[in-house]
Amino acid sequence: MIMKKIVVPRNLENIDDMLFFADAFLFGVELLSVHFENTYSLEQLKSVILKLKDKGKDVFLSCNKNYDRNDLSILESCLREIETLPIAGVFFYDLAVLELVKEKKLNITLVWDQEHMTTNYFSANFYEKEGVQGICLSTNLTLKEIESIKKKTNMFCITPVFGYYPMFESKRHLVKNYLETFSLESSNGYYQIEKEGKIYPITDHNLGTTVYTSVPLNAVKESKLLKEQGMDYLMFQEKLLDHSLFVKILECYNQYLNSGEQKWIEQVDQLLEGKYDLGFLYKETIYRVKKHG
Amino acid sequence: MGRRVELLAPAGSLESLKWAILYGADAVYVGGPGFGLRANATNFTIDELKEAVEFAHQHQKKVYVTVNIVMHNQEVEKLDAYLKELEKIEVDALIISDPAIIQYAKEHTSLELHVSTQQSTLNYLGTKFLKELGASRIVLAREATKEDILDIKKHVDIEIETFIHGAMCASYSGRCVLSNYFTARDSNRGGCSQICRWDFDLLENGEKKQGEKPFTFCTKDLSMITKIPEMIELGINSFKIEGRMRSIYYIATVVSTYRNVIDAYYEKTLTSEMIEDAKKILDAVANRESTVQFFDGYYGKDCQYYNGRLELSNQDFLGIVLDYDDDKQLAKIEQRNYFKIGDTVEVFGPNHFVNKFILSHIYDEEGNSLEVVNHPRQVVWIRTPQPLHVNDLMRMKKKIDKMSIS
Repeated sequence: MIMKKIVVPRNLENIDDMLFFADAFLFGVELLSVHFENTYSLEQLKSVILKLKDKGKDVFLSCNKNYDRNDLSILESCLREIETLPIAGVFFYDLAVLELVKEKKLNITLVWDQEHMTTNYFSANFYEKEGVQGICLSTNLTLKEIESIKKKTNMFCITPVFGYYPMFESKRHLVKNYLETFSLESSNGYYQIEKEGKIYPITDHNLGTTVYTSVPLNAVKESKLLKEQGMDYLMFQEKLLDHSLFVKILECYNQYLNSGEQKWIEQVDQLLEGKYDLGFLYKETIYRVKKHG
Repeated sequence: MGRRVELLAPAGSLESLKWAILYGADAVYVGGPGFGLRANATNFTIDELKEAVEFAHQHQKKVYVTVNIVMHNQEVEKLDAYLKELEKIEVDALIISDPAIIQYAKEHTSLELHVSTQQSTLNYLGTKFLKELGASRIVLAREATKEDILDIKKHVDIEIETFIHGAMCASYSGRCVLSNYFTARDSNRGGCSQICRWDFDLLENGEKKQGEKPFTFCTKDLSMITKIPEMIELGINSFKIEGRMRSIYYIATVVSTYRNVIDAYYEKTLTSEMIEDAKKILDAVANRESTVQFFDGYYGKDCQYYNGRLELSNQDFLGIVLDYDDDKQLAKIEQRNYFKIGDTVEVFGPNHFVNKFILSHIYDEEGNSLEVVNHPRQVVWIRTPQPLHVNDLMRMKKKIDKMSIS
């Protein structure tokens, strides 16, 4: 499989500028997805899906919320409708999606997207046996771990290489609760939290609260290596970024992936003014902090 | 009436496991030497696990072992040997978050398998999937409401376990890696450094939004003591207490309090006064305010806990009864906090309710009279109006309901 680039746009209006670069798009479905700046009903998405399909692009949809009993009927009718659309796959978090697809024998390609849990080949291979065809890898992996998982699974692998990614997801409305507790007025603006000089975006949305990384992940240099290792999709998140800046960055990635010229790495660095990091690509998290016994 | 609800207690050490069982737990959950989510608790070695299982089984109680980390490749290779080891020890169940491990354990061991709350199960479809893999019990997400619980019970014949007491994650379990980013400690592999308890500045469009207290994710604790009858009637099979890193006093107090209320419910002797008294006892050992959280469907501002609003310290625990001299009516006490002549104290134990009395006489080990007991672990004798028992615990009798302060 030739490596593809999957883009998660801030909104539907932005996608035209990205067509030169993106091989695939991921959209959030209204009431069923979290971590998207905008989500859409299937009715709104239908024409976009068909247009993108015409242009040879893959379209993925995300159903990545934790579902309670009230969500199940919406989820089922949504999945039944998705089955009729030319969708490349559905990202899922909650096992209800997998159970529904199996139980109702829906012909839908599933992508295991349990966020911080997609961290090893053993679990990936379990999901493959359950009929899941793709995996969206966690942002908490090292480059070595990504390479190893890719080698040891037959699923198609998607790995995040650029953008802001979630660190925290809650059902609670944490910003609203704080403002209400202390009777603070809100102008429904852009919220962030600050600690020790670092600032983290926080969004209090209709389904809860999400906190994002302080700076975007930027693995432009590593993207070429991932391509050479046979990664199936590289993922780019536009969320919280200026649209024109994001488009320029996509262009740099494209150029670097094609040419391997160092100047494109430097160009991304300049565009981001050095404000990015490499996540955990070279940093292992500590597992055991205290010896037992 | 069917089988009684199980009271499941945490244990961070062999000592606290024994106290939990002595004070009324039906089962205890512990972390072994690997694959558990409390790497900074004093986890059990394999030898300690053997002793724990032996002790529990002698008392007709059960031991469940957490195998609930989110594995990276490096852990995968060690999984099989670890599961076999736990099977050999004859632990009663494993608490697993990863469906892949559930399936593997089902195929390669004969162990009972419970699904950890890390999987954040909130609906019957997910539950059904996990049951078909071989799970016999689901620990539901802390976000589950009573309607969610009922709906799952209605659709799937499987044991349901829910939390009834202790600290709450502010996030969906498994969906928080703040610890990874802030401290490089993997929250899904046992390293959670509880960033959700930290204070932050909240900014709107770059401007600070300043309340009387700083912004935090922190929530109040969970306490379901007032909902026990309703929860039993919902058909929940196991009530879980959170807190593998808590003290023996905390464990003994919380376990015995819930034990008394649960038993009174089944014996049809439970009164609203008993529940109110139990609530006061639990409030006194808490270090945060508590609510019923999501159970009634509310998770608004009153569930949040802003630092400094009400910090409580756990100074009520006065000592442990080491011995009792019937002839002299004297109890031998090992001190844990300051106490003195004239204090009103309560003593409670595994098999009896609270004795209240005023401290009238205190003696040191040589028989000299004392006014105060102020040395850590000091051993003294106190006169008591009723006989006490070894392993009873003595605490200060509180006059106020601290948790009504807000």
